[in-house]
Amino acid sequence: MNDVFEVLSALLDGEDVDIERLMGVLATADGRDALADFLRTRQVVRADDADPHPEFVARLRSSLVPRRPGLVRPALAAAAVLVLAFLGGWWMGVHRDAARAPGAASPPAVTRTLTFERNVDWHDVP
Amino acid sequence: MGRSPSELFDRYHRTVFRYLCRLGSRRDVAEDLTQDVFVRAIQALGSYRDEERELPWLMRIARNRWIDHIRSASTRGQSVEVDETGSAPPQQLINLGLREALGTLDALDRDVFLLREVAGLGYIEIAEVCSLTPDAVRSRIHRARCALRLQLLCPMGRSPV
Repeated sequence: MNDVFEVLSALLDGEDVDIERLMGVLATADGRDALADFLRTRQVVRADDADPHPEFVARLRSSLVPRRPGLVRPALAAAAVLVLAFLGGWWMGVHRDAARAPGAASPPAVTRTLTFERNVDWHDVP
Repeated sequence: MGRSPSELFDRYHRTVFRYLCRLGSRRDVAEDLTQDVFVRAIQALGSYRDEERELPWLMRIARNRWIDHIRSASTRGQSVEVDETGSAPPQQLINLGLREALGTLDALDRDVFLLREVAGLGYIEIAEVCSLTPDAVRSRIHRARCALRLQLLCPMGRSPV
């Protein structure tokens, strides 16, 4: 008997059915009862008020959705490159000057001394 | 161009969750499994761009994840229990009766039936998800429907087919 009613299942599921066969089944009280029962069963199965907890949904949604690709990370990377470039240039400049002028950090040694005496080799300008 | 991850999640998370609950998961387990399903789906989303077949694709992931869960639970000797405390009282009774009835079905019949009734997949889509022929899907859905009719409606005074 169940196989006879398979056409009812197919009808409920939106599948193509043999119209003559369907009419034959629905012409019987058993067939009509079966159709009604299948619909009741569907209502029971679909009458589901179960939803995941809203907190779970919010948490999962935020973790699944990738963050909007903003400019913060590229900007930070660019700033870091600039700082490194500045520091590197400064460091290299300091070391290059030091290499070109040995002892530049201390005053040069005295090689000769000039002495000027008043009224001898210079005079006041009026 | 496929949906964004947020669109995919918003559109289908309830369907996946309810399918997993109806299969027999506790709510907390169903939530964990739902999370797994969407993590896997979104990781693979870049290579999947067929919007028309997104739901069958997701339900296949959900079904596989459920089967993995059952296997690992049985390996650990754990039972799979259902928690209906999240439902309203009248629905709790219905859900408990339905759970018992669904529990008596052949596992594949139950899968196929729920993919039809909860996820709304067609016979061809279910056939792809479960590696069956559409004719086998039709037969299994009908068999499940008749068994549930017998169990759910006979206690209420209806006569079975």
